Amino acid sequence: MEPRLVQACEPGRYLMLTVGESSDPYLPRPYWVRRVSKLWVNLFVGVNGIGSRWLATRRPGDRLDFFGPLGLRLELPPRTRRLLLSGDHSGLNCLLALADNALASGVEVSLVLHEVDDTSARLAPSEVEILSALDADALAWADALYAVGDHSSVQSARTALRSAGSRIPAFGVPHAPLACGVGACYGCVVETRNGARLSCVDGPAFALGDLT
Amino acid sequence: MSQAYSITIGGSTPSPLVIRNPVMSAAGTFGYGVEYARLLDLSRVGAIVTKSTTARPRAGAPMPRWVETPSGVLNAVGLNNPGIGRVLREYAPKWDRLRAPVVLSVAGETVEEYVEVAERAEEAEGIAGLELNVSCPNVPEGSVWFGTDPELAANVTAAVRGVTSLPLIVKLTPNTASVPDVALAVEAAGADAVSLVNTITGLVIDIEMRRPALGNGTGGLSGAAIRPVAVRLVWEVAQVVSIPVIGLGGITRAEDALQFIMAGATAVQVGSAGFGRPDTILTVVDGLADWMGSHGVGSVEEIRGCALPGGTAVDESSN
Repeated sequence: MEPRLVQACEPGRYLMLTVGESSDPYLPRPYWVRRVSKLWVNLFVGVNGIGSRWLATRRPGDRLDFFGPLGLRLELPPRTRRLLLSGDHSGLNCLLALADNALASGVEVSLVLHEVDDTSARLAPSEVEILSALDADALAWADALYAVGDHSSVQSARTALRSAGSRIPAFGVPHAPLACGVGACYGCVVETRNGARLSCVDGPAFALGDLT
Repeated sequence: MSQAYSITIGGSTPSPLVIRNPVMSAAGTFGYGVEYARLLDLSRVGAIVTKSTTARPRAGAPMPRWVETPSGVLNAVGLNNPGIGRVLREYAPKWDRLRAPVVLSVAGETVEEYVEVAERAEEAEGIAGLELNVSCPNVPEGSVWFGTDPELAANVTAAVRGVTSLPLIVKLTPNTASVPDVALAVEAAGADAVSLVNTITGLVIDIEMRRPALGNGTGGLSGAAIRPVAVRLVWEVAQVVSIPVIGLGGITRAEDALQFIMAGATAVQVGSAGFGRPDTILTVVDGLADWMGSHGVGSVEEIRGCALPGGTAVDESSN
């Protein structure tokens, strides 16, 4: 990848990868990436469908077509010292990119991995504490939260935050199905208190309290 | 590209739609054009057809709205759009910078709603033409789509024709028994061109959830999977109407566009193939020029309709 594209791969931004050889699969696949150097990004692929199966058969040196990075970068709230991340393997690339960035600025990071599997946990930097539940203790420790996952898991993060009475800056990154990635197809609508938003261009992160 | 690729739609209107090449974006797959301005050199696109726009904002269909199918995609977005007022405020001022003519796709639930949108467009700057999306349920008539009935389609076309001087394209649905009859009816009602096909109604069941995969239930199928159906319908319509026919449905490369042109299309539109590769529309533009160059074809007009009955098919002995 060109260095300027690698540089633009900030936490939360994603690439649309073309998968397959011609028209099948028909749609591109959005993937968050983790920037690892000036020239390289890492991309962990959980194999769970035709697109990821095709990606899993690529060999070193194979060319992948993509466009991006797209979406808005995820910001650490000012004065964050202890960042709590929460998600499952589907949000791993995003969570790891956030963790790398936070650690580089001297922020402590804990990662709640739902349905923990050892592989996902091993991919996290060793300075990251791996937790198994987004509970009151974890929320009491943190001064900022990012929850990545499907609608229901983002909603349960919201519920956990509320029942802990926590008022820390908290963001939800709900998975939304992307077809175009640029705001043209209106397929990734996320409902918020301020009305419908498009995950691909207005997201991927939204204030957790605004998600309905 | 030169004169050889330029085409005119609505030649009898005060400001005809003259496009530099016959490759346009398809409604509902290209947003309002500005979404692609950072990714593509739109000055090389023939024209941009916007997302279908209604008189007032519409929230659209429940999620999910797109589901992938073999070589295609099924969608039910439910005409989610910001409404003509916001489109004219937020997008229209940017259209000048795209350096491609913008055709506004117009939708509505009543004839009056189509007319209202067309009137607002008529007063606005920067709109080069209208495309009527008649694949909408006619609410007063129940669930009948405007585009499935020649008389309903003609009524909405005539009403819009009455309030607009812009070149007027009517986009035909394949979900009806006789597409040529609808085409003839809208031609008689004042359409300057017809575009076809809109999506083909389909259904995908999510077997794990045991319910339709789309929030709306049924949806419209587009993509390479529908191309033969679309080419056949263009071929049928081109035999009966005198106005230009714009072909679309599953165009992923120049060779696909050439099928439509040889079936009688004056121009083509590229739709959902652009999701996978946003530059598909430019690939088609370039590929068309390459193919014509390598085949000694001097203009699109030279091959348009050559595959129609009585056309100028290549003699096997000379090929």
